[in-house]
Amino acid sequence: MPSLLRLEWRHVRRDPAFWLATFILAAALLYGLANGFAWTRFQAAARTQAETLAAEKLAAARADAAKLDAAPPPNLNPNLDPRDARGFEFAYLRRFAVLPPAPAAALAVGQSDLLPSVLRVTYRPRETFLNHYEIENPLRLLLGRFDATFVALYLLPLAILVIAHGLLARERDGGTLALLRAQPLSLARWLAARFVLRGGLVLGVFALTTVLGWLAFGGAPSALSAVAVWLALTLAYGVFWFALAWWIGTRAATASSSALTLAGAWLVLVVLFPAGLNLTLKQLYPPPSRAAFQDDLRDGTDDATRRGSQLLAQYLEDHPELAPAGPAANENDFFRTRFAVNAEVERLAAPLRAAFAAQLARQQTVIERLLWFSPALVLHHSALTLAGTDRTRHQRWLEAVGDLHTRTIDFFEPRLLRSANFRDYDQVPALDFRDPPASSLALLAALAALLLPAAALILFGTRTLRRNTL
Amino acid sequence: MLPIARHTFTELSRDGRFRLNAALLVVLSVVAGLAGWQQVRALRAEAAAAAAGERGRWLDQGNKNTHSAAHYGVYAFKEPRPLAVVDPGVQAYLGSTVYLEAHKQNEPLYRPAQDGTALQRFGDLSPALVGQALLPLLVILLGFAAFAGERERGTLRQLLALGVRPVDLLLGKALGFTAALALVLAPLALLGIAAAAALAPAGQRTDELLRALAWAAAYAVYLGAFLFLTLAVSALARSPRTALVVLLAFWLVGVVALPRALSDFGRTLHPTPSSIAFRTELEAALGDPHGRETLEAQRVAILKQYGVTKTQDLPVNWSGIALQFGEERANGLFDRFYQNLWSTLVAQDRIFQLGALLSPAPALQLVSQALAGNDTAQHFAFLTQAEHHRREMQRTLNGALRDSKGSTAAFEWGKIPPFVFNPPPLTTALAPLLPSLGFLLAWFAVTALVALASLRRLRA
Repeated sequence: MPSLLRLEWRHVRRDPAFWLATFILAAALLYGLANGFAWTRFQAAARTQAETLAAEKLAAARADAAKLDAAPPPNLNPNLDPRDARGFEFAYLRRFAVLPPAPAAALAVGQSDLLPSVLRVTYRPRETFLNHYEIENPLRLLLGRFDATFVALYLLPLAILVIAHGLLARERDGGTLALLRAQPLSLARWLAARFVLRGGLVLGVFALTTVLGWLAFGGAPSALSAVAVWLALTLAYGVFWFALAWWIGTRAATASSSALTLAGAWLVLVVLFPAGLNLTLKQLYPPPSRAAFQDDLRDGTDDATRRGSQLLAQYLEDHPELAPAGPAANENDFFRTRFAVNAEVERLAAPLRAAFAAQLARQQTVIERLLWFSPALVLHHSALTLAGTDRTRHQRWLEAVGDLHTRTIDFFEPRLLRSANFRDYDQVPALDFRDPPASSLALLAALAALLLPAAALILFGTRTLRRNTL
Repeated sequence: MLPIARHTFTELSRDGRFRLNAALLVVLSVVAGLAGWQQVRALRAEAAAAAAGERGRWLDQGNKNTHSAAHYGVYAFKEPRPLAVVDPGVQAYLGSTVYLEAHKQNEPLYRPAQDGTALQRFGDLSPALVGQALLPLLVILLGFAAFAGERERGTLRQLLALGVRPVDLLLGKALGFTAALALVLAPLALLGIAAAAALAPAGQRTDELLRALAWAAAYAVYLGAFLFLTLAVSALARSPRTALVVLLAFWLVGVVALPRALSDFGRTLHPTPSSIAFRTELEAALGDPHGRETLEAQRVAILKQYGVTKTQDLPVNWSGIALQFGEERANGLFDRFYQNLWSTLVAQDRIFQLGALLSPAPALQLVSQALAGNDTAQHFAFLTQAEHHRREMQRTLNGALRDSKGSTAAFEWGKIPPFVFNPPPLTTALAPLLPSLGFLLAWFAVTALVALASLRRLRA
């Protein structure tokens, strides 16, 4: 084998298509990494802006409260007074729930450009703050990002197509196959050397570029283990494509038909199957109508507002601690009614929102069952999960946001009624969101889903080759 | 030339590979188109029902202070355009409803894509996707061996020896391929025309039909450019394999990689602010809409105009004047902030458009979306009209408050008309895309010239 590889190296060295494809792939990978880092830096800046704003406002609340304590003004609007829960909540509290980035976020932008990751959670109904998107050009959302995962998913197989199509048929086309057969060595071993050398070089350059690019663009060295997992998945995906080229190559009559078949396989596995599955799922489990959702919510809010006093009575039965103790001020009744209406709106909205989540979960379940049919889906799914830019993690974060919303209501409602003498600046609830430990089982399953078909393809190809040689 | 065209066409129509691929693409795009059709109808019915509900609630407000009604506001819903059947464009990534209320220009809510899985980022299957990405691939598949294959088999020399002029050979083959491709493109064009005819509201039918025709013509020009490019490469290449690899590489770079790379490059050159920075700055500039400080000069001027010393003595309701003054002041700020933001997005799209120098795909993508009415510019038209409606609504409501001396105005809610979006006509929609149209035609002309020039290599 080593002598075969040395011999083959002489061919590869003088193959301009090989080097051009490898060079373009490496350049694209670097551009993809640069884009991924640019995006994570942008998101980090947005998070810092949110945290700075929150801290500045909190510091201002304390400073203003001290000033007002020292020299109380004659008539201050309670809505602007930091010592009043109403003033603090309205004019000072700018608290954001932030989705923290996973260590390998720069590798796959995923859904993070589409779904909000900084939300200002208040005690008001959830619909008032859940839909605050990041500013993004819709055309870019449509096209998707040129990130490292895009390069791996789309461009790596096409580079492999250029490099590895018809490695056998080219000899037949050139009329040198008979000459090779006359040599005292098995065709399979000779072809294996051609594949191993080319595959090793391309995938080696890909891995090296990833690691060097990661470090050069300022990626945390501590995240290199996550980068290694991404590389393991990507390289397994590359091996699959080489294996497919091997299998097709043993069966194709000409180099052109080998290239065409590979291009067709790419089209089916990377473009048509995912897009077709998406279309089918949207037909099978369509999300409910957002316009109808808006319409229902608006009707419900109106109805709740109309029934304000009745709702208030019910609400106070559930929350006796909020019932007026002495002669209640009208203003407090306004707040109590508002809480009751908010609670009613939330009660109406919760099942409607759940209907969206349920359809999404159904789609997600089918995808997780069918993704094994396309290596592209396996890589996409695993890469997004690894980068923490997938839908499931976002959904988990939204649940934590929902929990924060509930705790915010519990925190503010009694204090808004008590109104004055508010000093609980440090007790305002904060987001409680943690990632579960990464599943090594899922990673193994993904690797198996990429490598087992590859092994089968190599085996079938080798058998075809042996049969033809005999 | 005609016998060559006829021969090319017959050969193709007998080629099982072509028949299978062409049938697959037609079925795919028609299925995707019909699913889109159903979705357009459903979305439209839902938007209309929600708009009717909104109108009913607005009219049914009873005896209410007009400023309370202004805060209550209305939601404007965006109905999908008929040609979303052939090209949904950026529709899934834009909010479909916008809340029109006092003091605030709100951002649109509910992007349809937010309710989908990550799968949609592989691209929505639509006739446009088939036409932009897959049909060029079919052209390459059909034509890569047109000359290179004949040369390899030795039949090219025979043909030329028979006295067939190379130019006739080129045009004949081009014509034959065009006839075969027309069979694939025709169902897509018909789908667009049918959607325009059946789904467009009566007043917009002619405009939508013209859009559908122009849409089909744009794809024909685009595929024509790919056809000439394929024939040129086939004539120049040493072997069919080289022709195929070169063409596949061009397709991969020009159609798959370039659009993404360009849109990310556009963002690097013209960065948008983060949403939180944008909002914080806007809120800071707006200040408190009910704040007294900003109104003081206005109050003094009005008191002087009516020759009184207290707002209570004015013959008009000061609150109405104050609120409208606040609106006007805020409107100026909204215009400045949103114009800045939108012009950044337009600048990003211009970079994308310049990418048409490298590949015809970006030009076609922009033209196709614009013709279908689903590009960013026509979304801005919706937002602009909705915002105009909001401002007129505030002016009327504040005017009624100004003219009523009591705090609760017995206002006739029907005086505020319902919001109706008038999509920009075809000419307005296409105006910013003249460079793209030019690029598309230039690609066609240049590839045709290159193909003609490449004929010199045939005899070599």
